[in-house]
Amino acid sequence: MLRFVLERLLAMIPLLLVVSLLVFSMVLLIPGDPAYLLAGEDASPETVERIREELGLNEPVLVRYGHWLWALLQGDLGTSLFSDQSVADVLLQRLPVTLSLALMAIAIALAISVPAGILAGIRPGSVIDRVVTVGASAGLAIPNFWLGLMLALVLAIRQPWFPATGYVPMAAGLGQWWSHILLPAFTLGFAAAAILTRQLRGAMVDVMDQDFVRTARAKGLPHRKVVVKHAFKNAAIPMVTILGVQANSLLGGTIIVEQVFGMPGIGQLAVASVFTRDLPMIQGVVIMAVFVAVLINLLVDISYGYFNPKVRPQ
Amino acid sequence: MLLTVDNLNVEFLTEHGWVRVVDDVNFDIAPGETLGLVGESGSGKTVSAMSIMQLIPNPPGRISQGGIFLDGENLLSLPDEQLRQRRGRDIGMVFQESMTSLNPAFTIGEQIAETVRTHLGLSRRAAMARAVEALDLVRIPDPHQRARAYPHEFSGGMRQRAAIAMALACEPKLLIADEPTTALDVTVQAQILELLRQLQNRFDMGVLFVTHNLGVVADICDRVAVMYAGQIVETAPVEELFRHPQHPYTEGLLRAMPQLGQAGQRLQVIRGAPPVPWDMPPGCRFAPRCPYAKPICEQHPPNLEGDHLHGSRCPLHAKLSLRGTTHA
Repeated sequence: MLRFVLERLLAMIPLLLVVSLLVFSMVLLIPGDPAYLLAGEDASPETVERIREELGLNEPVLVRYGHWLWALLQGDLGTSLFSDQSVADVLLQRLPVTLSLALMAIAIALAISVPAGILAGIRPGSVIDRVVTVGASAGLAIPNFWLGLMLALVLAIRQPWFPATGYVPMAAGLGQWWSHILLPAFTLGFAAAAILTRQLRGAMVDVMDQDFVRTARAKGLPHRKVVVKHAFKNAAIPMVTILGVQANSLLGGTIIVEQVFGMPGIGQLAVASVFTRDLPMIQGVVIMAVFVAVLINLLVDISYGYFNPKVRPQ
Repeated sequence: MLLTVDNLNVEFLTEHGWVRVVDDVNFDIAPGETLGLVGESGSGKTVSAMSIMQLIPNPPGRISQGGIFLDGENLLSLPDEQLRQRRGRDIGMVFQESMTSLNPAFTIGEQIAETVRTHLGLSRRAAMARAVEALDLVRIPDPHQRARAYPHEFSGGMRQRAAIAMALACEPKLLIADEPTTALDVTVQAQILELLRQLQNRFDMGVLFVTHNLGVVADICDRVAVMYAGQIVETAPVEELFRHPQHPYTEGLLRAMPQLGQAGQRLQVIRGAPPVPWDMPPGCRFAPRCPYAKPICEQHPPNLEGDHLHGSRCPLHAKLSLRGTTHA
């Protein structure tokens, strides 16, 4: 197992290199000269030239990529063009917000979809199944920015049970953190819950017809055990695949949800950096997003082996 | 009697409405006895066997009438929870498809051990030890190691041995084996039959052996019940049934069986196809295919007649002299 993880980590290296090349090329593809931008409108050509020299913009592209990559490997993502803060520092400061949001969203999505998918899937056509199916369709149809605004309106403004905006780190108190994270996480996780529920429901319907479920019954196992142990572990396999895909799109979803709830996370940072053309910051955000996405896929692959022994490394 | 199946009727809801696929089936099994339930696909033999455990999917199936008595207790009137406690403990079951009837996500050992834990309340460790014993009993080599393997790491024959170990782990009084050797190649089939025979002697189990293969019946069964179109058409001890069949359908089956020492002869097939359950012939259900049929056969549905030893549903059986075989 350890070897499997190590192999997968090593396999990430070429991917991350390609990504780094693409991210670096962004700078070359964007119109305009960063030196002009930094120097300001009134600067003399000499000043611009000096800045260009300082930034190493006169050197060949490959050399610049080499310098940039070397710095990247040492954890130096450069400096923001606007705030003089290190990009890495800013990212590290904002990462916990986005991670809390995304992980809570996944937890909420699972907490909804696992029971709903199982209950609907063991009795297709029943009342529960119909309610769940309609709910899942609604979950897919509702855009998350609208859901977020409605939740904030009803549960934060009309009934001030939750704060409408902002974020409090976990260190400042679990209750505070919880109350700030709940609405945004629910907003973000709701669509994922709908997709996972549909997936699990379908898989449960299939699995409940399998011979091994009949065997489990013939052995005299209690109904709950037949469903939760024997059927669910098999039905969870396609669900885990979808969860991996969903986790990646949740990261994208944080951009909108962080805007709606005014959370100082990576998503908000990404939007702000794009508007100000803060290139090093955008590069940092993209690289980190890719890194997290690759890690999520690794986790999915590992958990895959738990649910499906056939794909377990020998 | 260990098991008595009394006037069992099973219906399925189809596009033709409720259709009876098992019609007035009666049989019983004594401790240590093996009854073969023989018939072609769709004859109702598997549905009858599943009904004993009440494993037919409901909907669309239902047991519309009858009684199933295990040691005199009617399983059909037991509450769900008590029925569950009989399954796997008093009645073990082995299925045809060893590939799909074991759960791919759990180890063989765990799948055996959980049965033991459920019914005998053993600890995890004791149950696993019992599972290893059970694997040893069905002669799986190196059972300690193999208990940790997953079904896909076993061959077909080994999986069926594991399935038998699972069914026998709680030493049930009755074993229901639904075509347990059909999916296996012939040498493995012979090994599994030998194993079943030995285990049966050891535990003095009653066995209901469902198969379409008369050769296997001759090999392992004490008595046979032949099913056709949802009904038992003939029942007798194996030797008697093979030598002196009293139903034309049984004769047809025997003639269609390849036999040693008769190489070069054509097998005789029964012409036509079985009726569909929503459009049964009004009289004898075999009459449209029967070479001996008389007009009277198509008028009244015949009953299963005869003494306790040999029964036949053929209205003409006393007048016919059907050909048997000495092969058994």
